[in-house]
Amino acid sequence: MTDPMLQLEALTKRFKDFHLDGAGFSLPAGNLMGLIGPNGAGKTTLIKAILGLVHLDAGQIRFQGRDLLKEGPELRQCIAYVPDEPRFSPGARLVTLKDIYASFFPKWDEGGWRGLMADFGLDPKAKAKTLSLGQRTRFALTLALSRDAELLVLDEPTTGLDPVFRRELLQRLGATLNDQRAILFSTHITSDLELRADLVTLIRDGQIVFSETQDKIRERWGLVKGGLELLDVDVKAGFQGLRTNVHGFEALTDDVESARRRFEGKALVERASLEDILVLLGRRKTHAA
Amino acid sequence: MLLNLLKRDLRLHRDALVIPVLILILILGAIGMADDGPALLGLVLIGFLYVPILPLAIHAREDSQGTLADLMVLPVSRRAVVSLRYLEVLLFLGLMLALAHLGTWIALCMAAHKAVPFYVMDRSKAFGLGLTLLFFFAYPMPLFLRLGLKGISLASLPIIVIETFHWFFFPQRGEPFFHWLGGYLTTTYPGPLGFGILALFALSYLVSLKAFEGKDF
Repeated sequence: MTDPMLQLEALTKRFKDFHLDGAGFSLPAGNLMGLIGPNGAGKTTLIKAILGLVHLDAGQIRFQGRDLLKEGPELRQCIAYVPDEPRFSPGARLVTLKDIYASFFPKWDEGGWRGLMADFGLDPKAKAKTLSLGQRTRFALTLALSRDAELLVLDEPTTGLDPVFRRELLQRLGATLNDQRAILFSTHITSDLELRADLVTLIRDGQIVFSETQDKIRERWGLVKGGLELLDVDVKAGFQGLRTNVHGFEALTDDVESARRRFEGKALVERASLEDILVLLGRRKTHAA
Repeated sequence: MLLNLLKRDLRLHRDALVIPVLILILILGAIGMADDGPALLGLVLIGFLYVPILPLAIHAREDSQGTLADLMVLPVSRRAVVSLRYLEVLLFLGLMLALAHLGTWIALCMAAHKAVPFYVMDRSKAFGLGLTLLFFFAYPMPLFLRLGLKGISLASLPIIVIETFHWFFFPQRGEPFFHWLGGYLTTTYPGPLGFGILALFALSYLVSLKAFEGKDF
């Protein structure tokens, strides 16, 4: 059996006000994994751990079977990263930044970069300080996509982008995937993932809630909609998240088949979208309280 | 890899070299104008004082721009980044020493031909100054690499306390403690002082490696 492209095991990191608590998942080659979670859930910490930007208290990260924590500088030749807010030396021209960046990567594709710059509407002679957030993200993407990286780590790359470019980017990312490559894509915009992600990992309060294929998520997670008279302590306890209003309730279940049997004829049980899961799981604490 | 990093710094922080280049031009100008010493010496001193500041300034600027984290995601070890800063200070110190020696040499040549009464900077003084500057770079560097500019403030705290204490209890000395100590050690134990500072520089490098390894971005 071949090693997964990226494997995270029991990652633990303690900050003053936040703990990454035993987080782990596995990303096989040829897949695009979406990483979702509310703000402060630990997405960026997880990504920073993969890139060696934070030091873990415990846990192991393996890239193609090799220890990423020990061999980070060498293995980062194969890992490209686009941060949520790319920053560049303000006075430098994009072509200068590219020259510097490319000097670290022997497999740099100069023709590919020029093509991407043209496609993304960027002028190589422009200075970094003249770029908007969206343009900086586009430029960071040109750098990440021109170095033949095997793992692409994108931390909310679509945040500053317009919908047209977002769609185009997702298509482009999909096209770059092959048996030798994988993409880890953190985002708040769950509709982006429903379009293209093979796997989705949800993190909340520093813990991985699930890391599964979209099909399995659809099979398992459901939305229950019904009247308030159905809600008692036992019913509430069985839900993963709950939202109520004067007309009734909307609840999240992680066992859609049981929910169908239990509420047959009394409530509507339907598949939950990633956004439903994200929103309602975020309300779990309130509900529990 | 270290060479790539050095080239990166030279291209991204070209403007940081404006002051050293300006000083070089002024030094050459002063020599050309047959300056008899103090002005030229002052310029050389300013150039030397820039030695420990330059790598610190480059690092602080990268930190504040947020580009330091981007540097860390390149296939570059943290050891290489720390080594780069120490290499930069040594390279720049070497450049300034060479410049001071060149000035002295030109001055001596001119004096030999009785062109001008020239003083410039004594070679041993330049070397002593270089060692002192290595101390001022080496001492705060580990704290700076770990904590950023806050580290510089922390590193200055003991110096301020010692100077205040010295001024309060030994007003008769009439000079700052470190100036007095430097003068005393230079005249009494010049050899051990030199070795001590070089040892501190090496120790500072090792501590910096450890400090920077544990930093979170």
